[in-house]
Amino acid sequence: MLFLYLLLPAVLLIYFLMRDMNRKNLALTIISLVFYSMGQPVYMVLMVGLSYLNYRFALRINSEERSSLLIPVAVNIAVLAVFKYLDFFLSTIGLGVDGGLLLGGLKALIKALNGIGFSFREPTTVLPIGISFYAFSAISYLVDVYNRKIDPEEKFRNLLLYFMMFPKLLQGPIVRYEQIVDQLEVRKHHPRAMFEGMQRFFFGLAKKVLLADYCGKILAELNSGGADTTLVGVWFAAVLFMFQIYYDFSGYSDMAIGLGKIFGFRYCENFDRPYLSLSITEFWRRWHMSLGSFFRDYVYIPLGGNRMGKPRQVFNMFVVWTLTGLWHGASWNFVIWGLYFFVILVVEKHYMSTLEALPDWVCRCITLWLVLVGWIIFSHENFTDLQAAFAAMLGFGGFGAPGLGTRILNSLPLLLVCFIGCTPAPVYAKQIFSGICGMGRRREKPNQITSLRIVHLVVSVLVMCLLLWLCTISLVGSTSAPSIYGNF
Amino acid sequence: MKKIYNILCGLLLLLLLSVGVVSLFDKDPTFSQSENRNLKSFPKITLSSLIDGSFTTALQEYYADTFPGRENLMENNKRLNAFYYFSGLSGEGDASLVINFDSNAAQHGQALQNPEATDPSADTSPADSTSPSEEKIPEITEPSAKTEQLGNLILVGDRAMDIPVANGEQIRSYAAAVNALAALLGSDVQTISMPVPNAAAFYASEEYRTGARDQKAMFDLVRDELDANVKFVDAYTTLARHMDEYLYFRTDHHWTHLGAYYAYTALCDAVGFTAEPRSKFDTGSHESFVGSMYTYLANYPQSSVLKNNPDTLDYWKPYANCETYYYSNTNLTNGVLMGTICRVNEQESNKYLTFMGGDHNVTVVTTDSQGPTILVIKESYGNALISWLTSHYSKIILIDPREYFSDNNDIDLKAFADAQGVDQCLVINYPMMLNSENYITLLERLAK
Repeated sequence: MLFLYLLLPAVLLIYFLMRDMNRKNLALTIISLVFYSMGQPVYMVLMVGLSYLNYRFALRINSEERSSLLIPVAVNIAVLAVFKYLDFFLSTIGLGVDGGLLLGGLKALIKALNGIGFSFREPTTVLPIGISFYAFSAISYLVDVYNRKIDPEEKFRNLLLYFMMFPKLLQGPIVRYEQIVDQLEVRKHHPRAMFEGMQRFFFGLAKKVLLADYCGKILAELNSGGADTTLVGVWFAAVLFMFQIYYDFSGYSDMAIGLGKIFGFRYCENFDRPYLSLSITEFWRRWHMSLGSFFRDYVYIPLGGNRMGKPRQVFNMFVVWTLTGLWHGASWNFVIWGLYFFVILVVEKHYMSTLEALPDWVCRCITLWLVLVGWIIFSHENFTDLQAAFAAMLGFGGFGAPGLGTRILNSLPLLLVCFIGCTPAPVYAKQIFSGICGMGRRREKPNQITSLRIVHLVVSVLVMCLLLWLCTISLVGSTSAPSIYGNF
Repeated sequence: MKKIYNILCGLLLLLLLSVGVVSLFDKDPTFSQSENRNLKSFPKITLSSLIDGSFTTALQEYYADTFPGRENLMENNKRLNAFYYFSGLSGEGDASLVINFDSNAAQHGQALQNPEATDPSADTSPADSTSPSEEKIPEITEPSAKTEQLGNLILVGDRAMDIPVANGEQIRSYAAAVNALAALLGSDVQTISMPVPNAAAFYASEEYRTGARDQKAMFDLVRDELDANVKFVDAYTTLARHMDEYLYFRTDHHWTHLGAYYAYTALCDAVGFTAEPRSKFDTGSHESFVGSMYTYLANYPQSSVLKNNPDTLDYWKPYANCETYYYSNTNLTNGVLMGTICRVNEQESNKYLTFMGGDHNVTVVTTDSQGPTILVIKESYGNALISWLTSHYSKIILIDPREYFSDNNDIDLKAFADAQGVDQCLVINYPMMLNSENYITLLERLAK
């Protein structure tokens, strides 16, 4: 609410009041830093410091002596490792500290500080927000400089803007430096692009607030009521989670891409209707695309990809999927989740021709079912819960719980909308409408004003206002749920 | 076209901005009528709150709470919920809505008690020098214990019910806590355990009152776990015999005064009194009572059926002369005059406050009846029972552990009971409490 009605318009106003690009960029950088500090002021220092370090690293890599890539990449991984994986690692080797080593230390520190007159609130996490996205952006930048794919950024302020840009910092997509380097200093602000950016932003907001959050709310009710350990319950919960995570994450991506577009940036797409995939291989080309391509380009291919024989390829895939799992969270269920996909992908590679012979709808159903099972693994961090969920999936937890039928009935309209939203129907509808109004992709005389085009614009604005209104009345009734991906 | 896009972008920006500007300069409300709660105020800026980020969190909450036209937006939010909590296809007799019921709701079906809601003068007790209007009923603080999931809340037809789910471990520790109380009070005090059912035990469809939701089974487990020196009163069977009477409110999670009456008759049978017939009592009633269940469900469109079909609260005034005071702790100082049956303001939505004026830390009722002294450990279900007891007991002392310990009070129950000459100790609870770790922890603290 605060962001939507005060910060966002203020930011846009400031940004567009700035005349030249340098000032615009400076404003955007400062705004991004302020936003970051609003959540975690202390870590802002860390992020800026790390950015400066990466700036120096890149210059060194590119200099005459061409220093090694090892230390720069290691530093970024180390930061990620310490904040995100230290406790996981310690508990794996049997040295786990109750409540977490860093968090415990931080709590002790804050207790001591509060003892001498401060009044800090007790921290619940030590994870700097967006650190996973940040680290991957940084690594891709350093590696690309090393491979002479790009020149290192000469100006620190440009690099800082790239790293800290608020639309994408917290939730991705993992935009690579090479993708926006040419937009950092020279970019145009087309009114049409800005309008489309706003549209994209509002659609993303609606996905998050009107679909994902409500799925999450119903899911939380279901879980805490214990109804999710029955046959029907566990699958119902999985479907809710499937929609929740998709609309939450893709909604954030839409908002990021939309905001980027308003500011004149072109971010990469992150989702392409993943639940319609014909295979898991395809699913991972359509789900969180910027992460998949990162692992492909910076882990899989450097390891040799598929060029060094079958066994090596399988090993490379194993590494990639272990890391993919780990990236999603410091817990074994994420590793299992990654390896689950590893196994499926290896099998798919072997039997691709057989699978392709099946009718499309069969492939879609199988893929969706596999993804659904994956989300069950993903959503149960606790092993006991995961076991119970698997037992329930196989029918060992009873058929259904009292009230489950009513709950499913209560959420039918929501599920229906979520389902339609995953199909191409909305896009087709939009395309057909645009085509009729002469606003399609290949339109003639793009600048000519016709009454149909006006109708199109009016409808677009009305839809945006409607979504804004619905989001507002939803947000006012609840403090918005944080993103599931907030922990990454 | 370019110009048009420019204009449209500008208009959208202007729309957001103007709402933002209005939100900055409008007058902020401090209380929400529809949710019955205080709204957040502008957070204090301190160095600590800026550094640890809590200022931002508080600012966002404040902003959402004081957004212009919030009450109106909340109304629309409810309409939007018709989409998210759809019930168009549910058949007759089926639950039209199922949500979770947590300890916050069980504890405070009504978030705030209006300090001037009740007036003890409806009681037959003579007026006293302590004027209740001068002293404020302490505002209930947010429970410090964690919110726990106690079961479901369902709406069937025009009746909302909370459905407890049995947790064997909790029920055993509940019984153990009652045993501990009995052990603490010693053999001079007869400890009595009377768990009482709620509406779901009789009026919910089968799946909600069998298996893990079988309240009779919960009470049986309590009975089996109780030590031999603790008397168990089977209120369930007595109430079950009268289930076609108006035992429970449909819009509130409590029982009616009549429901409490039948539990009282069961208690009398168990301790050897003859229950007085209701005809001996003067009666009165409060019309259009829309209770806690509606408050809890207000944001769901299905709840309108409760609002449109309010309950009637009938009460029977004790014929014994009573003096009722409540206190903040067992020191029994600075008492505030109350009544066993209070007059409730027409505007007050929580008409159940009629009984004992709501929950208080410690309440002492002194009557002119000849009889023993009883200590009642209870939550709000106990409140409706007390006026029936006035015919038999010379003194009735109530302790509500939830209220008592939320004020950081200490207690030496044994010393207090000795000083007050307590002969009997009744622990009366409805099924949600038998399964509530929070509540059981408080019982254990009493028994320490």
